[in-house]
Amino acid sequence: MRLIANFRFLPELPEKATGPGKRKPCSGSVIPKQMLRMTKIMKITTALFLVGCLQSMAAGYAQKVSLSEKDARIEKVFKEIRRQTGYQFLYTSKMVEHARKLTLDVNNAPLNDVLDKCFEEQPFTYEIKDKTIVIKSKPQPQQPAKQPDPPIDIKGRLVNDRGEPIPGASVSIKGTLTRVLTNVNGEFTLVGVEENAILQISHVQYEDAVINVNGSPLINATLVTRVSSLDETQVIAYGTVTKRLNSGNVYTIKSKDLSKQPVNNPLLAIQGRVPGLMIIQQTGVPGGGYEVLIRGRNSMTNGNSPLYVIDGVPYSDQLVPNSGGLATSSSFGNNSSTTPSPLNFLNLADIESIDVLKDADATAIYGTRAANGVIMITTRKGKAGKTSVDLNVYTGVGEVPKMMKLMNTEQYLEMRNEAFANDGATPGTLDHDVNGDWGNNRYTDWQKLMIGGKANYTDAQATVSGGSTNVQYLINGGYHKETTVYPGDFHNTRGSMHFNLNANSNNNRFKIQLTGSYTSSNIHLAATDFFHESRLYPNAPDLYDMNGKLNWENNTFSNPFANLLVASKQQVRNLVSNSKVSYELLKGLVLETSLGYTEQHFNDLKAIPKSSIRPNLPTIPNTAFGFNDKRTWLIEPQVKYRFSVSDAKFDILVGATIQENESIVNRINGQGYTDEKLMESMAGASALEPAYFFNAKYKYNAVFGRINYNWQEKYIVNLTARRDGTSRFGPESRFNNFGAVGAAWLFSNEEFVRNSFAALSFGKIRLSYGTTGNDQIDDYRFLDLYSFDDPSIPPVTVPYQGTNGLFPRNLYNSKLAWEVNKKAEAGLELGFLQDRFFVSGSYFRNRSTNQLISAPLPYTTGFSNIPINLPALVENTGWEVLVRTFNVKNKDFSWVSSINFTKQDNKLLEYPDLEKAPTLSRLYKVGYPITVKSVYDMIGVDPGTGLYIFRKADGTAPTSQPSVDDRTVLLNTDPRYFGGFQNTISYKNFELDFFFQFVKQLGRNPIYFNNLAPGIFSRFSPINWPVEILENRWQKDGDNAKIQKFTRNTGVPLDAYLAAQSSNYSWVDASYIRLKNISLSYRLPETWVKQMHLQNVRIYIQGQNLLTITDYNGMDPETQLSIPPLRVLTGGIAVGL
Amino acid sequence: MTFHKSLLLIAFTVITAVSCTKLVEVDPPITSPSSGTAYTSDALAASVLTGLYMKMAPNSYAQGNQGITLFAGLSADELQAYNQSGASFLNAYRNQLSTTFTTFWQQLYNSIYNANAALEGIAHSPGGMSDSVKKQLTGEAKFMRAFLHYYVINLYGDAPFLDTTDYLINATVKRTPKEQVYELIVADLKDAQNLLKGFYVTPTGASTTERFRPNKWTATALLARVYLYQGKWANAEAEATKLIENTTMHKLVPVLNDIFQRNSTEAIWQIQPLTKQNYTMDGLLFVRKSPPSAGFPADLHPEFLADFETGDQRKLNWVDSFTFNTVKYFYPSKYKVKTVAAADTGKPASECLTVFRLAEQYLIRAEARAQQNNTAGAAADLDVIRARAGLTPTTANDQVSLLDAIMHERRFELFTEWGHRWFDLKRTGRIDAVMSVFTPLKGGGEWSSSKALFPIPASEIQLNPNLAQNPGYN
Repeated sequence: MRLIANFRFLPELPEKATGPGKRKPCSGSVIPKQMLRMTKIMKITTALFLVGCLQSMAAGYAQKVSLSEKDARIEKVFKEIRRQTGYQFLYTSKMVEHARKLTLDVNNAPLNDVLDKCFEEQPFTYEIKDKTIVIKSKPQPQQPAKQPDPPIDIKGRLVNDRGEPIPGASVSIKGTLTRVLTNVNGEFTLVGVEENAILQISHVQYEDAVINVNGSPLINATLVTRVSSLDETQVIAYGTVTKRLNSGNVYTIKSKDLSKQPVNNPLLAIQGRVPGLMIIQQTGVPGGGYEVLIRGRNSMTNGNSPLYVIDGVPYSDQLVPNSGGLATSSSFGNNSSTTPSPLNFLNLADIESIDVLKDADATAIYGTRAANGVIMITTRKGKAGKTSVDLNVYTGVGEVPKMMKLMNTEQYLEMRNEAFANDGATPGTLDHDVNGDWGNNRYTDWQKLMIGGKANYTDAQATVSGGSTNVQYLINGGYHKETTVYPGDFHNTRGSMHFNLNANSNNNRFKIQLTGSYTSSNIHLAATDFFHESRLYPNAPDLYDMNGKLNWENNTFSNPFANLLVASKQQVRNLVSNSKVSYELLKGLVLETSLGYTEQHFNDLKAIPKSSIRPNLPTIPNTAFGFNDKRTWLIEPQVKYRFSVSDAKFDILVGATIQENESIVNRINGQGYTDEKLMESMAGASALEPAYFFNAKYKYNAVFGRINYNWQEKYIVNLTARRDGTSRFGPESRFNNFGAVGAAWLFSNEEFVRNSFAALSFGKIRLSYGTTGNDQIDDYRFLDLYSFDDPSIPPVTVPYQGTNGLFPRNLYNSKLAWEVNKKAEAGLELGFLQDRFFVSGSYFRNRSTNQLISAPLPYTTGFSNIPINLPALVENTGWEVLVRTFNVKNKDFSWVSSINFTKQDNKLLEYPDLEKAPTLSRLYKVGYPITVKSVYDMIGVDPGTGLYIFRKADGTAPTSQPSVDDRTVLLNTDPRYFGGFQNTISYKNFELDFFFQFVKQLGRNPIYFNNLAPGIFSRFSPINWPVEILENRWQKDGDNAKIQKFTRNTGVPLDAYLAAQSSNYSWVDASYIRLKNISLSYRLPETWVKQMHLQNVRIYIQGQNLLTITDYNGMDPETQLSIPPLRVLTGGIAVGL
Repeated sequence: MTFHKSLLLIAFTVITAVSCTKLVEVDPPITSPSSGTAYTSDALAASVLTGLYMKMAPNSYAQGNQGITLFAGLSADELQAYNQSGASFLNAYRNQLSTTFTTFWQQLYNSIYNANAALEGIAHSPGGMSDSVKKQLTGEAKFMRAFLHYYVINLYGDAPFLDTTDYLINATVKRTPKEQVYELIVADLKDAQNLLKGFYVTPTGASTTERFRPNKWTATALLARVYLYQGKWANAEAEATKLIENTTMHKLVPVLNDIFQRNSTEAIWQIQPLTKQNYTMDGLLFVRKSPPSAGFPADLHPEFLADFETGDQRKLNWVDSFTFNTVKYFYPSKYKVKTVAAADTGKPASECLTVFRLAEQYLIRAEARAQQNNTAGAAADLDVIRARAGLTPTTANDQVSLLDAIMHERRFELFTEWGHRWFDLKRTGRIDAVMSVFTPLKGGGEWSSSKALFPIPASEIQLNPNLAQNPGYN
């Protein structure tokens, strides 16, 4: 308990007053000269940064004092001592009322001597605590049997460090039951108090205080704000709030948690840490994509990504609009829809915090774009203070954590020979694997060769920051490089620059801020995900012939190393910038305008040279070039007004948004290269062919407002509203209104609660309800566009009468509008024992309707469908729980744990006329999740035929060739629950952090992944099998087997296998617990650091995906069909100069 | 500071004062015009009509393996399919088309939408188009709307006539009686005659020798045919006469193998090939170089070949054969080029799909005259065609025998061209008599009159409850 009540600090203390002795010359230095020189150079550089920005901040404080005063008031002397030493004085004006005036003349005298002189013959004395000089009354000499003084009446007022009154604070008299609360003005009155009574003051938000009455009838005290994680800033739409006073559901992750992870994408850094936020990594390829879902899927056919907002400017998570696609998308995994995540083009080290906004209260102000939640990314800003230079470098390696157990040559040939035996056949000329063409003795561990390499990680960051009270700045330069586990020299490299400049006028009314991040990425990846190539037949031929050329073994196989000759390159330049200008017109009334601009240039090329093409393939060597540009600008004028009316505080925001996005996609194919070396240039091509062009504009306009009402910090009501208009929708429904109401009751601030539950330090109930929209569809979907090509017409080489045709491509729907998502949420937050144990839980129910889908139309309309808004209803419900505990907290040792848990359900509640749309009715089932999988009900292997058999829907005899209607089993393949468990343990200079992520879900069984049944050989789409299919396979009549017989016959056996692929057997438990991140750091002791002339030095090791506990039989339960997240171990050092 | 303050205030007021609507309007992308921008220049608007013709160049309702020629030919007594042919060809051959067969319905109405979109777009053109091109393109669009509807009703019977792009209307239309549809077709064609030029034009109205866009004479040719189908004999005769007498534009080509050549004087409208590899999809489809398969499903029916008159030059010039494993397959060879020889790929297409040609007009006039009891006139027209085929003048001398002779002549002059035989059987009421013999022969079981109409796609009936299915397909 800190006792500072009834005292006040001298005003305008510098934020960081460093202690005396700081400038002591170092002695006994063991630092080599070179390093000293380097340090010097760095300091000079630093100094250069400071020119013009700083005043005398760099000057230190001495413990020696020089004074020359005559008959000075003691306060003046205190002030001077404070100025010279940085020591603070703690006292009340009443205490020094009767102080004698001082006359002093000292030069460079020790502080203690000077103080002793000052306090000579004073009615009080002093004591030094840390760097604070506390002034105390002199102990009263014992007086014999003095009559007790008559009781007095006390009036008092409590204020906080900003001078604002503190209502609702409890004031009690020690040893009695008397207790009063302060009123709105922070005032209290006590009647009949002993003169020497001791007052105890407590309030949830402030440190407890004790005041000696000392006969004074008038007591004014300043309470110190209690530092709690509840009072950390949360970034919300168009402002900030504290967790304590937030009526919405916002989860904040600060940079200190982000920086512990050696990853290149902010999404990866928050994976598993946020309740309700599901992030699925699609591939372990550096720069690959993610699926990001906040509280499930709301839209049946359109985007379910959250809105990303960087420093107030929306950031698109789409690389290129429409179906233009990338030339190089195959580099990012086998799934053609997998594209690199645009968040890769941000530097994680530039991020100060990530705030995840989930409920209607937090998101409705983003209107049409907020249905899927909002992720606010706030970049680092400069802070006033001495110029600091921070360097941080790490390096490390990554590898595929676990390989699959695939067949070796012996096992493989056993399977193949058994297939021939089962079919009563002998190998033919095309069965290269068993007819001797490839030989039966060769064995290559293709997994080891293709994905068994080590990826290297290198990351370096340098930050310079500092500033005065008027101007602050921050500049960060970064470099990040990741290579792959593939053979060949592939990498994803990013250089970045981030800057921030803040300035304000002397009176603090005018403020301006400029922030920008520019990254430049060079990505050179393989043209394929070598995960596939790792499934080559174990006796497949050598990759190179004796001359060192690619071996095609007489065109009997597809040489995977051909992909090493294919160039797949991307160059990305990404600029995110914004500025903010604000002016405080009257007290509390601020005018503000933010301006944002983002720009992304994404150029890619894929060059397929002749040498990479199997000689007997007709493929023509060619290069695909893509040039994609995206630009967004944004203007958001705002008026903010903060004021109080008696007990109530109002915070009002009104603003408007004008935004415009433009995207350009140009794709060109080049052919006829005379030399393979020229293939990365268009100039070398003898024929250039236009492939795809698209140009899209998107305009967005809105007005919005928010009223926040706070009564005594007990009741908070937050109303938000937005009127949105976007060019994406039809003229008849271009504008719409969105709004939300949020309410919070901080019942721990109620007197009766405080009286009855002493252990409860914080309690809040939150409720919110509101509507948001989803506009994640392609631009122009409502418009009846014409195009210069038509799917019914093959490429035209002779234009009709020498001209192009123009083809209507879709119908006009002037009513096309956004999907509407109604969100309801209830939350409870409880803190016990000064929030050492903190638990919060929320229940949500989001209902999405007006689903934007392609409705089937009769052909008489000219088309087979039209995008419309269908009143289908999708519901997401769920529970989120977060528990944070300070298990141990003392000077040397602390241990903090937090666990989060999310359980959610998705359900399609209504879908009018679903049965009329046959293709859709196979996809969706009312009452089931929108991702429901309708699969065959597999019984197992028929002991007679040795083939898989399936139940028929009509109850007739099971068959190996079921029809679509027999898909009777409905599977929920969504994650059932997920969460994370984090621990931070620090002991003296060590800090250990580890984080487990867990997911309960189903995944694809690798036994049924493939397009061919076991036993079939395919020269050019090879597939080696998991060893486990050898166990319990059908071999002879009557076998009760699990795996159907090996056969090289297509027809029924293949049909049976493919049906098994779409059966309940194809889905297995893919739940996992993963040690996602572990980080151990050691801060070098200050004495050593000082000797090196540095501010601080921290060395650390970090690990990612070190351990995964799962029963899943594939390579990885998360990525399943692509290269898994790598196991990464890095080591680094962070130095402050 | 006051400067900043006022700047902010001004910026704020200006920005919030701007009306919202303006700020969320975008022009369509420059890479794809919309209905609002496609009709702002002659060239762009002409491209919309060009698109309609281009859709007839690849495999489509107009030719090739999805063509009316193939399906109507298989349905009638003209073509033969095999067990190796694909299911839909075999179904057509056996007069058992299923309700999942959507091709014609879907493609014809899709093109009708394009024609209506063009008509609406040109009518509401915000400017930028010349009156003469507006006139020409409106004429082309009206012609195309008539042309497409003509095929809809001849394949499906009563059917909606659509004259709007409004999907709310088009999605709930009812079937209109055939007779009424014919009236609307006639109206469109008369408009087209008035709007279109009397010579062949480029997209934007300049004169050209290439017959790749319908003109006034194309509209006249279809109008003559429609009057004939309607039984308006005098009108049919009058329209056909206009074409026959305009010898500066159209003349019969004496050499049978030259009729389907590019810019043939007999052609009233041709479709330009879009690739250098193929000229016509009918050539690709019918010219046989491999035994029957799903890709090359049909040949001329032996019964059809047997019915040729002796000495008919058309049998020698328009029928060819291919022998495989001693089996001889006879295929139509009006179009000679299956795939273009490598040496010819750079040259302009030598033959083009012919949509209308003058010979049909002679036969239309012969029939119209016969119906009006002008036997001499009928025989004269008929003999023009017979003479070219190397045949002696007709021996028919009364109305009944002349009509039979004309029907016979149509069968051998117009075979594998746009389903003429199938439509003739239906409109003349001969279909039951002919097909009740022929369908069992084709392995299609018993013939019933309801098979004269193709089924409307089942999905169409499901999505539009106002549409009734043709009898026999429920």
